[in-house]
Amino acid sequence: MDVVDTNSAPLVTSSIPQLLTPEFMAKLGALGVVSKKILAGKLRGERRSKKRGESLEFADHRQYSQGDDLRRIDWNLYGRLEKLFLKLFLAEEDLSVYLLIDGSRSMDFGSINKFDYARKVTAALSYIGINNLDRVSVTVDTGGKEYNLPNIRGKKQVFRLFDFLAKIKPDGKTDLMETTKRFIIRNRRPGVMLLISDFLDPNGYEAPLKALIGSRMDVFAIHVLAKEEIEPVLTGDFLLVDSETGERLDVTASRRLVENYQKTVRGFCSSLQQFCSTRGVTYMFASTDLPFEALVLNYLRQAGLVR
Amino acid sequence: MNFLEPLGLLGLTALIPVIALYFLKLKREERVVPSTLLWKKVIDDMQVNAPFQRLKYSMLLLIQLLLVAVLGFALARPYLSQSGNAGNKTILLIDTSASMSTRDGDKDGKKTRLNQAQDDARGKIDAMKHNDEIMIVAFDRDVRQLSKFSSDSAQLKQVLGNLETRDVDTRANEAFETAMSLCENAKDVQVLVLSDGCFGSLKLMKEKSESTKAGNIEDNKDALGAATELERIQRRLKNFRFVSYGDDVSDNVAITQIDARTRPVKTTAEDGSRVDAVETQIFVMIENFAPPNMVDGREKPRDIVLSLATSGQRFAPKVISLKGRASRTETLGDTSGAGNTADASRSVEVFKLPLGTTGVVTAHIDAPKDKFPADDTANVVVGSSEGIKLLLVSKGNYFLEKALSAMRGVAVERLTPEAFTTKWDQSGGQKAVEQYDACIFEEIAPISWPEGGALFLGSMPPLPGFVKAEKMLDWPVVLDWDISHPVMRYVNFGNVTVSKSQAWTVPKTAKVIVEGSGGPLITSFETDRLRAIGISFDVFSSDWAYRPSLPLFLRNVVPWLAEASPRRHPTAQRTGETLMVPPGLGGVLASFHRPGETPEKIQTSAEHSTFIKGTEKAGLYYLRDLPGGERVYAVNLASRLESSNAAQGSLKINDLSVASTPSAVEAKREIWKDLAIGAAALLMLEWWVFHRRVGL
Repeated sequence: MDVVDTNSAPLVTSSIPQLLTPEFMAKLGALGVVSKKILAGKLRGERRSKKRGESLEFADHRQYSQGDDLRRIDWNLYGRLEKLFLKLFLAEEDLSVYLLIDGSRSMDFGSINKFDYARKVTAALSYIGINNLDRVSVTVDTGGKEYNLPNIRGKKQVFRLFDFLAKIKPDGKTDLMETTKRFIIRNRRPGVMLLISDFLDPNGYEAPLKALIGSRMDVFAIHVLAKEEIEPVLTGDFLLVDSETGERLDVTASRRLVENYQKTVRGFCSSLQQFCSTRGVTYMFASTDLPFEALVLNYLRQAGLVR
Repeated sequence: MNFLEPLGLLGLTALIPVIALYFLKLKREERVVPSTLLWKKVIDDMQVNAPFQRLKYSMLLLIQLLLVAVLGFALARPYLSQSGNAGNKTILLIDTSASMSTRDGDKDGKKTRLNQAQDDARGKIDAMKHNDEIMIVAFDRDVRQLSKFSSDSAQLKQVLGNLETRDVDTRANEAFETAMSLCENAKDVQVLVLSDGCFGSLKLMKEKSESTKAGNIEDNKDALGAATELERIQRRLKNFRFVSYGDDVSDNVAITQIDARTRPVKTTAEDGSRVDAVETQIFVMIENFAPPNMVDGREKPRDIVLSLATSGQRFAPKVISLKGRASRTETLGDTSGAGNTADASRSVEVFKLPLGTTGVVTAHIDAPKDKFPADDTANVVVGSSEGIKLLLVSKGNYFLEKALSAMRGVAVERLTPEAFTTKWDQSGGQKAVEQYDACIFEEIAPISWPEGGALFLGSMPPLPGFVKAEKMLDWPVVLDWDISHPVMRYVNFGNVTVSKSQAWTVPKTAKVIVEGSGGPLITSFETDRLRAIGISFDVFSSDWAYRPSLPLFLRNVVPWLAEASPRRHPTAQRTGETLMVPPGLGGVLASFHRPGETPEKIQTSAEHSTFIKGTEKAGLYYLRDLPGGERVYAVNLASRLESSNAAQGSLKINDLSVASTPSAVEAKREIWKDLAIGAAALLMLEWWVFHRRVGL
């Protein structure tokens, strides 16, 4: 398993297309990633933390013990009770935003490419996180190779992120379980976790999602499918070739068969949604024919991921 | 359902490759998809790597199997037995007349119409059920019941196989009568007429019956009988089924008449002196029965080569161009071709034979595409130049006697009416005139005239059907005359005026030669054994005596009448007529030779004429071992009714028409055509299903 850590190997930025336009980035500047949970951060930030820290907002008192900072003793309370108490304040930390993108070959499909679509969503959400001083980590799993851009903060890192995303080409088989396992081992800190995939894993999506939920992440699942997958235009005798496995399947596509396939796709989506909703995972379906800007500005806002 | 070619069922083995092809995979277009995960959920029973797939339900497969099965069955030529349509008893009334020998039964011209009818009849016999019975009756000039009602198919087929056509005409009414009488006492008898429908006799009967309806010969038993018979036939014809054979367009060219005439002439002998001699002329009538051959909007005449030969001499052939017959509506009974003298579809050719020629003269026509050879050859016997003995019974007629005395080779004997009556009474009738070749009766007629030739001048012929009105006709105008009749050759009647004539009603079988405004002026009547000419006016009641047409007429009439005499040897006879051996040849055991048959012995009589039957084949008949050598008879078809051999699509009597129904004999109706149509429909259905992907 190759892991490419871009901290050690900086990406080349030449001839990389701009993923987001300046106008769109300006619109994104007003948004921020929202977590349903109060999660602990690593560095000081702008989000309320479970920890006690040095903000101006009072949190609690506790008895003095040897070694405590004398500057935090509440002398007014000592005057009344003649006991030493420390004054505790709420901490403000940054938020960890994790973006895990399925970069398998199945994502490289559609007249509006699924991976391009996912790449743009990732860029937009990362930009929102960076803009709010959040710690953004982006991981793209391309089957045999995992691209990782961990813990980027500060607006200066935006173009590095864009370069990182632009250079990745989808490849390999989908193995969500393996991908999530490695992700969880590498990222212990709780945060907002966005999994962008088509979820077409022969081994199923249930176990990987359960693993993510168990890692105390606030998980968002963005299900990306191409229009051609949802409504295939097929008539006649075809030999369908699986883009990942090369598996071949004889199909005589009749109207009835296509209708059955569409029913199966709808059933697959609804079962994934049901699975997510029963386990506190926010599910969002994104067809590639839905304009990317509309998805970010409207759909994800309605779903509560950004505000 | 049975099969004519059961081996054709081997075609059903084609089902195996069809099914085998379905085991093989189709060559499909490759299409890359993100994942086959969801597709597999939809069709999880499709195998990928195996070379064969499991046979599964497919509309296309079903249609293709059905298609192959249908074609396989069609190869076996299945047929349905039609015997269920027939009654328990069937009379096969098979026409064996001359026209049935026309070789248009198949495309190659090998099968005759009779062969085709025999094949169908065999099929009918094969299709007989257990209790079915068939009777075979052949008809032409005669009606012959060849078998009783029988279910013995072998015997029936043997009878059928022995059937041959005969060169005679058709008398369908007698055949129908016979069939009807056979049906009288049996129920559910179906009569199946297998014929080409060339019936002249029915039409003649219709003409007879119409004359009855018109009321002009109310007391004519013959005509009344014809009408009654026709009605009976019409009534029963509803139970008849008719199957027609042959082409409905004739391409036949025929010799319809042949005759030899002799006339005395003067010739120069070797020593330079003028001597009497006899010149013989052969008259041959050729008719084209084919329709007009139109080329670029114009009719192209048909060229026919006519050749004439005697036993030792062959004459230069003549090429005759004849036009086609415009319509077929002319009177069939008109055997002499009267009424249409300007018809370009017929021609009369005259050959002059060298002086002293005797023996058989054969005329032959060579016409391409002619499928009916029976009427392409005709013979005529030119006898020795024996003079004609003529009896003239008259009060005295200068013009008549003068004209007759001028005729060479005619010996005239005169009798007054009183002397003739006495002689007639004494000798007991016909015997009074048996030593004469022909008789002329002026204003007198014997009580009856059973045989021989006679001219009745100013008196009505004593023949059945002739009726005289009481009133005389004043100044009857000559309307028409038939120049094609042998007695009217070179005779012009246009300048003859008649002041008074008798009003006659003549039978339909008589031929009006000169038509007057009030009725016939001159009528001919002809049967096998007699010829009669009746003139309804007296020569002195007209200016005919001053016209050259009178001696010309007598010159034609006397030899024509003499040909009917039992004393004289006929030049040619029609098939079916009896051959007469005059008593003068003596009572001997003669050898009779029919054409193509072994000779048979005939006992001739010295006291009376001997008649020989069985002349149904055209050709030369020889009577040998006679005291004076052999006697030859020329027998020809010479029937316009048979030569006009275009097949009729229906039998028509009065208002009733029985259309030809070939299915009546299609006992084995093959259904491969239906199967082929079904296969084509299945093929279209398959195409539709394939393109619409209906019900994968």
